[in-house]
Amino acid sequence: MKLIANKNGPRIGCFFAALWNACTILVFAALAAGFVGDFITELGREDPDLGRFLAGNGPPFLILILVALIFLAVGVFLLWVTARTMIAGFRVGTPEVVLSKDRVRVGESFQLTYRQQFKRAAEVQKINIKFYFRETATYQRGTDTYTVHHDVVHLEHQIPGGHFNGGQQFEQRLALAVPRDGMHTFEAYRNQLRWFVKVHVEIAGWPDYDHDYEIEVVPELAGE
Amino acid sequence: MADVTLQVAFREGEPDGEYHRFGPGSTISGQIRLMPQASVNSRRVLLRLGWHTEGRGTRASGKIEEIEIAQGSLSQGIPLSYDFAFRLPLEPWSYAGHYISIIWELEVIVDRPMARDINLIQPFILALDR
Repeated sequence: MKLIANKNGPRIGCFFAALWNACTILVFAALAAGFVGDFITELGREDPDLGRFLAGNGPPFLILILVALIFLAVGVFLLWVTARTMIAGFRVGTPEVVLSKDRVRVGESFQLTYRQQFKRAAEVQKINIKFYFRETATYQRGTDTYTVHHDVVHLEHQIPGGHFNGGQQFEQRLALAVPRDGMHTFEAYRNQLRWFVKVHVEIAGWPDYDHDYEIEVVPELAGE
Repeated sequence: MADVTLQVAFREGEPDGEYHRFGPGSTISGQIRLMPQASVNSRRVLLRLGWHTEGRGTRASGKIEEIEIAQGSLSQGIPLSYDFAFRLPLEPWSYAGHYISIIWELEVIVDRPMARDINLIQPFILALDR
């Protein structure tokens, strides 16, 4: 048995990162305002008429307030989005994905167990579990870097939703198999071939829970 | 028109389409033949085993072996042959996908001073018999 991931850690990390970003934006806005103030004072010393005009209620001062408000709005928006995600995380609890085997080989069947504890009552609209192979290629064009993906879905399983009470646990077992003519996990500079299980949970009134769990497929053929 | 004809002949491996297939961890062996049609001023002749990616992503590559099979100039009409044998690694397997392909190859390089190298790339497949 192998536990490949749970999700609360990254979610909390994401929340704190967004909070940090919001604080950074606020501090930056305050510093920017101070910097412009100093600049106006400096200009005022060199040219008293210009200084009086800039420090007054003319257009530059309004622009400064508008810019600060935009910065504040971005910070508040980030906080709102992450707080919602965080609350959704508290509601649906810690998801776990467990594989029946420590190593998965090409052509091998294995069982995946998806387990999720509901901390509070939630109305789940649907749960979708997808097993897929992804090619990821990154390339440079001029000074820009692009990344493209190509997914091949090998199994898609849709579970109807329902009402879950606080403390209730949802568990789903799925039999999966890496095709015999499939490819093992490969990671090289700007070229990746990887296998994933994507879990998508739609909860009424809350942000969707969406996460990819990587499954490492070793370069061996099952049954050899 | 190249001054040297280069050939790679595999001893083992299974024919798979237009290429030879070798299993991961198996031995790839064969013979390199060089037939100079004119005297060629060369520093050395190299044999390189490796893989690279092709497709949308920036090229990635891996060099597994590189050996010097001859030194000095090649004389007109005097053929050169070299028997090689390499142990292949277990991965990556050859792959042809939508954005990415993994190509295995043997490359013979006639390294020439102040001139463009003469080379022959012989692709092969590294994969299991499935």
